[in-house]
Amino acid sequence: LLFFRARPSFTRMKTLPVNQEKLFAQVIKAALPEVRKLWEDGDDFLPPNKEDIHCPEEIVFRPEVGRSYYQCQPHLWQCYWQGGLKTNPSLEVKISGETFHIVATAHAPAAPALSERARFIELTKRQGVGLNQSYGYVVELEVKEIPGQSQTVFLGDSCRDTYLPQRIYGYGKVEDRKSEGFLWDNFNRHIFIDKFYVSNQQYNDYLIATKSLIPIVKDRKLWPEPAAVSAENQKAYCQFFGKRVLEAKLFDAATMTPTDAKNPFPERVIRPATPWQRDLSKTFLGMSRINPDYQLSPLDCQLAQVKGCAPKFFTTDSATWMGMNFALGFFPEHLPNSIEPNKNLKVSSRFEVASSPWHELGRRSSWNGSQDAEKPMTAFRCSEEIIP
Amino acid sequence: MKFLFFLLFMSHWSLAAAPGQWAAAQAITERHEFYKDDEAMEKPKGSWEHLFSIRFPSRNLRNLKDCVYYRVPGIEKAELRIRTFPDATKCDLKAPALKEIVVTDLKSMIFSANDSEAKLHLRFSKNKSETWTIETPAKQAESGPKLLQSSSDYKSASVLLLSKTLDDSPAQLLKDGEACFKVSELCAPMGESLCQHCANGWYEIPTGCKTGPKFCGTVDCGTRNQPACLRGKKYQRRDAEYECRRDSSFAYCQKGLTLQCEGNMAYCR
Repeated sequence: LLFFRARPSFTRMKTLPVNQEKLFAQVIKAALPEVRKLWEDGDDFLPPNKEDIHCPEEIVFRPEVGRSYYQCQPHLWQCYWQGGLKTNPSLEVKISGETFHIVATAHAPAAPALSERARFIELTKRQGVGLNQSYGYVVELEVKEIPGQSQTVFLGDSCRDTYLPQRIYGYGKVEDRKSEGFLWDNFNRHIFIDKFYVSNQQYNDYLIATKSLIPIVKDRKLWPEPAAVSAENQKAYCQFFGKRVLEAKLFDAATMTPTDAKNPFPERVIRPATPWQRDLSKTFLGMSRINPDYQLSPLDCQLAQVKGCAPKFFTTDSATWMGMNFALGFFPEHLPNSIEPNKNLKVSSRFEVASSPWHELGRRSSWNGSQDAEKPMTAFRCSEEIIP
Repeated sequence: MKFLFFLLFMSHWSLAAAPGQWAAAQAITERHEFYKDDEAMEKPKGSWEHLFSIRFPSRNLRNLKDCVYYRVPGIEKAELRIRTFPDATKCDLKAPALKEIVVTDLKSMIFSANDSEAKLHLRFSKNKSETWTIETPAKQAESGPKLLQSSSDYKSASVLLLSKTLDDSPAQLLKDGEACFKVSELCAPMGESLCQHCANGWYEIPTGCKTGPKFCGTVDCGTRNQPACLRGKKYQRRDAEYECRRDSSFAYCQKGLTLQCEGNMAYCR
């Protein structure tokens, strides 16, 4: 019986280094997964009761804004560390049975356009030969239990874009069934496409980083909404980050779901009318064309936000086969077109009724490049190509 | 003034931990040719030897390196000097460095170093000793990006340690229009790609080669008097040799423009 008794368990504790510098380095290394969690899954750190968010100069909560807005979000990082989400913020790390508390410091000067507070995070662009990353965010961390030391840490913009697999793609609509239309391929090219439109918040941060004279959008409620800027400024924005404005043929590739995603050399490249259903007539958009009394369901509005849907931003319900959002509906989008230059605008948007013929992949109109107060605003996003 | 700056960042250590910036080490380079791992360094007595360098990112994302020097004990005592330079600069014991750490009170030292890890075993007087280990992150697999992977995750780990040192030497980024990847008429790459050093992205001029020449900046490909746009060489599902004048289907121009070859480079007119 003695043999079967419950025995106290002993875990062999590894001794911690006595040297404070060594201990600090060890604690910081162990804290990196937690740091990454706060950065990439910032939405998980929002309090359940949104009235408990106390950083109105950084984040104003709106229920219509999806969780993705808070991921890799420098303003959530700022809010968290200035105590806007919880009092005495810290990240806890346990090493060899001892608990350490990681805190960020406000190492960067205040951005007066945003607030008077010193910044806990700074957008940094590489100005010489260095890291593979050409830009990112720089933060400074300390360990409460080991005073007098700090570590500078780089946070990459890792929630922003998604990879376009290498395969044969089709561009635009094909009217003649016998024709293959315009085909192209991206073999040996690493292309990444922004998942969402460039937001006012992202554009503001770029204006601040470049010390631009263009005024920022001050209303925090509008920060998650798409930035309404001219085609020229869109180009300059993307270029600053080593990217370019997403072009029409890449948009088609990202939205036209391949019949067999595993076969990069399909015998026939189809041009589906929507990202989620090849045949338009089987979708709510097709049904709306036939039935003028069609009632939009919440699911319809998740797939494509059309006229009559409640506005939502940074949602992922419309994600395409490769992870890009907002293929149909939502906002009109500028898509520079190197094949047919005057077809550079995706018209399908929340400003068009569900029965509108514009709600089809590959159907585009023309945009003159300036935001017109009389017309719906035109959104944009960037893409980047990396040399293999 | 420069001298004053240099003095400010020169520190003398006796018994201490490894310099803090080594936590951010990315690579070990320029290893000493002759000294073997973990062997006593006794010759040439009194000489300064460059053992290896450690590359790490600066606070402003540029590459720096610590050149690790050791004075072999002779008439003078053993000494370790760690001198920080921009990565592109040659290690030099006498040139002004961004920062210098001098470790005195040393009796002897042995080291080991390979591409990913280095160790310094320091023996001080009064039988005290210290081991400094420098580890670099595991290299990412060289397979291409995966579905749903972000560009930042593909380029490197998305959370990285940086050193506190700021490299504020003049920007060395390539300007718009500068060639960042050269390819000969016979399709042979001439040197490595420097396109990651372009200030504002890069573009490729399509040729029949596997990869065409690349330049910094952006162009509106396919428009009049600009390079043609890349279309790919596999969408036609046939194995073919492409040469601009014979078969230019690897590139395209806007509707209404004609593709013209200049050498093997495709332009739109």
